[in-house]
Amino acid sequence: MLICTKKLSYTYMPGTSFKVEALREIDLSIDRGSFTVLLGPSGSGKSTLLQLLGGLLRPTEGAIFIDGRRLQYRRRELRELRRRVGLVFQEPERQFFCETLYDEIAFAPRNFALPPGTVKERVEQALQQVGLDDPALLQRSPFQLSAGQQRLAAIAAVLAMQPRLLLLDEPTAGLDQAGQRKLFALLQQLNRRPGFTVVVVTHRLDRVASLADYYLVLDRGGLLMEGSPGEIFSRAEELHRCGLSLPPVMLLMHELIAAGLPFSPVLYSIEEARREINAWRKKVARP
Amino acid sequence: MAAVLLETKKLTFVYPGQPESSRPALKEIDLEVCAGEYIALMGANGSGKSTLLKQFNALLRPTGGAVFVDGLSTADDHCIPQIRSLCGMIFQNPDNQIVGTTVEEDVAFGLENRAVPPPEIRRRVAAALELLGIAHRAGFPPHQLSGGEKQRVALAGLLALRPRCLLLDEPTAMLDPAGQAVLLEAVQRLNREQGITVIQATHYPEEAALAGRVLLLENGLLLKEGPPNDILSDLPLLRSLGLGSTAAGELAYLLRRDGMPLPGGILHNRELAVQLCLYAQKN
Amino acid sequence: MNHSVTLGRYLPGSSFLHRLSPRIKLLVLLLFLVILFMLQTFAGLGLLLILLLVAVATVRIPFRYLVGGLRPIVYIVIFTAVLYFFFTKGGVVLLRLGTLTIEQEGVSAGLFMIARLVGLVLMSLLLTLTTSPLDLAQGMEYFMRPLGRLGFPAGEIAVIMSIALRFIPTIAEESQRLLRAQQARGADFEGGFFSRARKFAPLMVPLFIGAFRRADELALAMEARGYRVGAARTRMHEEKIRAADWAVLLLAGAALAAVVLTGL
Ligand SMILES: Nc1ncnc2c1ncn2[C@@H]1O[C@H](COP(=O)(O)OP(=O)(O)OP(=O)(O)O)[C@@H](O)[C@H]1O
Ligand SMILES: Nc1ncnc2c1ncn2[C@@H]1O[C@H](COP(=O)(O)OP(=O)(O)OP(=O)(O)O)[C@@H](O)[C@H]1O
Ligand SMILES: [Mg+2]
Ligand SMILES: [Mg+2]
Repeated sequence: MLICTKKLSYTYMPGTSFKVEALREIDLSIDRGSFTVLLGPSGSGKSTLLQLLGGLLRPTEGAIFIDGRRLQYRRRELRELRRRVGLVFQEPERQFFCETLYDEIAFAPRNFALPPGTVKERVEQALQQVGLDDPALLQRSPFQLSAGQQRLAAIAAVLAMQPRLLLLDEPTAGLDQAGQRKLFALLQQLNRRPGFTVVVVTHRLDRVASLADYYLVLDRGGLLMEGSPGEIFSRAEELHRCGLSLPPVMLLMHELIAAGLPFSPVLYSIEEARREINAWRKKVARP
Repeated sequence: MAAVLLETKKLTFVYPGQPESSRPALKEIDLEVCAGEYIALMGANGSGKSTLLKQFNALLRPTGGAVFVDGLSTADDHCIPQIRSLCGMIFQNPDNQIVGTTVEEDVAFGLENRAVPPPEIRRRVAAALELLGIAHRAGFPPHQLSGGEKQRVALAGLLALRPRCLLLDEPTAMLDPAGQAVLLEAVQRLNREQGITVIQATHYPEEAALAGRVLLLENGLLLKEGPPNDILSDLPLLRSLGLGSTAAGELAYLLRRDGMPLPGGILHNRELAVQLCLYAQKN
Repeated sequence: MNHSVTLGRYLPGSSFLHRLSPRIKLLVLLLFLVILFMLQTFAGLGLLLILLLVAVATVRIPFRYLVGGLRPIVYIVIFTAVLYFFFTKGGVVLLRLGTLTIEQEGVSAGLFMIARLVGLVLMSLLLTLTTSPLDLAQGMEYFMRPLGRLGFPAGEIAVIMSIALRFIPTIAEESQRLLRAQQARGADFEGGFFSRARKFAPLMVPLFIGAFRRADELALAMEARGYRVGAARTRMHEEKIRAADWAVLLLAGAALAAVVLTGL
């Protein structure tokens, strides 16, 4: 077990007329080495939860346990936590503060007082990992990049920290298909390293569905479901009721099944669907 | 044939402060958009989609060539108020768009600027908030909203205005599936029933498939355009640009490559189901 | 943790002060400014401060939100106190520190100045807390309109003022954002006052650049959404001057008269 929460609650602006109970008594656990996806309709508290897990917000009620130890928000603990945990914000623009893209990516390695050579290596590696290695961009202000380039830059800035736990808030929003493919290949590769944990918040399940091994579903500040992909997606009706939907491949398979074709409804990638249909084709072609 | 609403002539654009030698963000784009069209704008990150959309709202103005909105040149300062009231835009990042100190005030902002009578403003604001499901946040300061809620506020502000042309820059990027459906349906309805022109930049082939015409941008060039069935089933081209097709489109393409006799142009789940059933019957 | 109402920020609401007409609020503010600088006695200032605190209480926001936002004022108060206590001479010597003395006149002048400052801060806080910047800009534009006929760029100035009014909260928000962004990448801002101050210093440049960028974006967004300086606009909630507004204006006028007559 890596992270678990006990009756974790967070309220914005308590005591005013804008009080929002963003999270209410959440009990969850995220295993070390897992690839967890956090789902939920708009305003259900996903970003709030991610910031709590990253130590950027302090719970108003309840507690977070990391490796079994209760987080007390002492200075040393926080420093340790923030070094191990990389959080990519939902709005990449809100994450930038340096004058050039290079400085932006170099911030964390420099902050950890690494030697200049290592800093440079890390920057280059991070930019290459996300596919933003156009040298023309390095000296440009991060605010002058296109939205998708900003997203990649924000991810690279966090990768340069080399965290052990990666929290990504809607990392694919604004990315083109190639960028998404590349990002998820990278996440998969990182996640294969022993103990590397990934938590992704997303509204688009097309690529993440074949990687995720655990799902958490929030609804209006409460934990609606948690479990394996099979468990979650077998409750399509409930998901639908709170404004969520199945991965596109599953929707496609449902449509095929509804048309009377004999396929399995539980598939998470186009590749699997292709195999399934090709196998079926061999069967129907024989007689 | 409907009248031309938006037109670019050899439109070239270089961002100020960029070196002369750098690649222009847009290069010699010739484009005509008729009133009532629904256009999807696709292209890899940094290909120039947002830059092109901003030209039609005169937020950016050509450094070469010209842009006309309903016959008015965006280079002409006097025409700008009129151009902006014709073409309403939502930015890719809602934070850059929201100006009001409450959600309600923000949605009303554009209407107030157009001097719409107050009772009418209240009616339209309430309807827009209701449509996008954020009525319960009406009195809140917008910067205290979640990402998806902010995007809805920006959209409500635009829809309440009812401009003749909607410029949408990845409007669904942060919306949940229900929000995506509501928005796309509303936009389609406006396009169909009121002849509102729509240009929507998107990375999602499912959304592009709803349009009447798809434009492909690459490195600031208008590479190709055509109906979605043509453009979105040309997977080798799309992939070479860093793009892709819908789930059904991708799958149909792969199956065809595996030797299955499927017709081209499949984009929707239903179409693939029909084709597979036909295949089963034939065998 | 980071809940505080920073100076200059508007907090939407429906209290009595929120509902007063912005034009009336501006006039009343003007009257009270005159009162503030005419008051010569501690008794008068005390009364005014009590009145202002009562007004703050009617806005109904939790006290701790205000305290957080007023922190910068503390430094100004300390600075004023030091200045007056040590450098204004006269009256009984209250304290002797080597060659420095604190004398009675210095203390009373210092306290008077601090009371005035606090009054000033409370007044502007009340105005900005309960009036949206857009309303405020329109209110100012209304009063400057006659000047506009003389070729004075009233509209532009109103917009600049409204953006300037937003600038302080923008800086506050921007500093919050920077803090978060840097913490998320391993920077450490915990610790004592001095270690914190040392770490904040390098933030000043990005902070101002960021705040200017935000202000720029705001102006651009307003323009893109059809805002034109001086153009006719309507308001969703029509701004009417009601009986309550007149009453408040009258009372403020009466208060000024009382101050003039009684010499408080
Ligand atoms: N800074 C803030 N101040 C006050 N309330 C906030 C703040 N941020 C978020 N909220 C409120 O808390 C609730 C949860 O917000 P959160 O950002 O966690 O949602 P989310 O699940 O990430 O949604 P989305 O998918 O739209 O990003 C929302 O109702 C929002 O209005
Ligand atoms: N403010 C700016 N200053 C300089 N260059 C810019 C600026 N904004 C964008 N660019 C550059 O112009 C090109 C086109 O950018 P644009 O934002 O139009 O791309 P886009 O197609 O919208 O991409 P995305 O899918 O990432 O949103 C990119 O190479 C980008 O780096
Ligand atoms: Mg969020
Ligand atoms: Mg863009």
